[in-house]
Amino acid sequence: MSIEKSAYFFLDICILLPQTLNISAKLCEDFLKKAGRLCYISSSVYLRASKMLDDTYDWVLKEIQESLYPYLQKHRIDRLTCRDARVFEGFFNERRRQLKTFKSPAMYYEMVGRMEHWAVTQIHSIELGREIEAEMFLTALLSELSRVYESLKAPLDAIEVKNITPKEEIKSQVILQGVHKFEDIDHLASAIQFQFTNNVWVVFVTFDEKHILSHQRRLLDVCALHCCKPDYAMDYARDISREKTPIQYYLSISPKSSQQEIFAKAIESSLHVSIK
Amino acid sequence: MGVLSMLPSNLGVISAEKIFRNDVFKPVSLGFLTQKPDIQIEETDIASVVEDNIRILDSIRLPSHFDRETLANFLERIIKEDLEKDPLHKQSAELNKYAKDFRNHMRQYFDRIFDFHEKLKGDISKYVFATSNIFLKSDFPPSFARTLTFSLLTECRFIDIYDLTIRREHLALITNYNDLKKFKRLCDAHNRWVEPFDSAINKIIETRIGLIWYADFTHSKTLEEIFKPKAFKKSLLDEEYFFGMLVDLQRQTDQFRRALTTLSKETFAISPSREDPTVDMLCSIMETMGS
Repeated sequence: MSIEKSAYFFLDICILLPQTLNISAKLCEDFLKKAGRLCYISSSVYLRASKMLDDTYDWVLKEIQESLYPYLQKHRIDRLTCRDARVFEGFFNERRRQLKTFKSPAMYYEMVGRMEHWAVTQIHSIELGREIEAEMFLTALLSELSRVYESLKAPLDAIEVKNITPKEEIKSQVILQGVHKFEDIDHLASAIQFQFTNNVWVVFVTFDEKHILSHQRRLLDVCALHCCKPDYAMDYARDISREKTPIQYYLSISPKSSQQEIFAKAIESSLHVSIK
Repeated sequence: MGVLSMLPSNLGVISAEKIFRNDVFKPVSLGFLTQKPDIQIEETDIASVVEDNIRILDSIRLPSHFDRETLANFLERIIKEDLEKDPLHKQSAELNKYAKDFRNHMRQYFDRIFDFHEKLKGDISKYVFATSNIFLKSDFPPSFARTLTFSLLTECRFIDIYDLTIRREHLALITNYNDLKKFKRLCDAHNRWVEPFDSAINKIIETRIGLIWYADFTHSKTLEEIFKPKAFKKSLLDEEYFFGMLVDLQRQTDQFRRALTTLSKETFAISPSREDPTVDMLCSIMETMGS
């Protein structure tokens, strides 16, 4: 059986949004190039990722509008020259200090970092003796922010979204396997629901060691959901393609552990699919 | 040389998107038409641009101190003046002429279309810049800048994907130039995929311009103040109406992007390289301004 007919990849947010490590970014890019047409995202992942991007954009935009201009004025800078790069160091350091209190700051750090890099590079590129109006510079910075936002959103648009409202019974099963972050519970439950509704294997692809991959074994044993990093995703899909379908696989487990019995019951009551 | 060293010295030269031109994404009539090119195309085109814009005017709420007819007359005058000075409009009319007699003008069409699109993207980048400037001097919420610029940059992405697709079509057209049946089939296939995108992008542009007009007209006391730089205040707007337009624009843009991915998943999946000078929006703004 070909991989194409037997397994699909459900992607976590971290696969679609920027990676801090270059190696991770390259891995994601390579994986999406290879397996893009077999990839889906659940509506929960799409909505969460979009909201993260929107919130980050809005915050950075407001900071530039409401804080950077007064900050420049405070330093008596209404025109910028190639010697003014260090003015931005203080401003962006202060923003980063604020981020320490944020709950999920990764995306904020990413966008602040990109804006800082752009601002400093552009300041350095101003010819000697030339001055740029601060207002003009800030307008250009906001335009660049919009461009960054659009390009970060692009991978989200490229992957087909599966509209899934995960059933409470399945979410409870995910929690029982040790996953406690409420967004992750939705993403994993959506993948499980898709797998048993359509009787096709799903591999949940993520980098999240702390909240997901640390429960990899239990999610597989009890919920029959494969979770892995993008490095291994194609290997998982290849191996799964030799297996029976998920429903047949679960039916064939004998004897079932008590946790597997409970999971099978949950699937039957919520999806009306018998895997006991 | 850096992008900023090409910035214009006067912010006043940057104006927001104010006219719906409908000059780009209409199905470029790659149909196998045999009639002679219409030499009056520019005049008829101006009339149709005016008509399209009056339709947008009719679709938006106006402040009580302006009556619709006065505004329509004002817009007609502005549009005519703008189009006469606008080199892109002339290029667009020329391309339409080639498209109407496509088989005889295929070479000219493909010689000019990519250059035209580059200039168009430069224009769009200027609008992104202008929108950012409006936001900077306003108390509008971030969703204003986010939604408008996102829709503009989506238009840029469409142009890129459109170019990519017609480059492939160009090859097939050259190969089958002497086979009239196949040539016509290729033209029909082009028109079929372009049509839904054409109407969707036009709807997006109309909504966007309607939104800008609503904000601008509400902030202008007299006709002379329309389209002039000003500080925008949320309190002057009917917030429910204004945010309704923003939500509508966001919804249309999201739908359009989803549809676009069916044409070119690759273009969306991989973000443009930061080193690639062709994707630097500000570069293109400055190039356009410098020209």
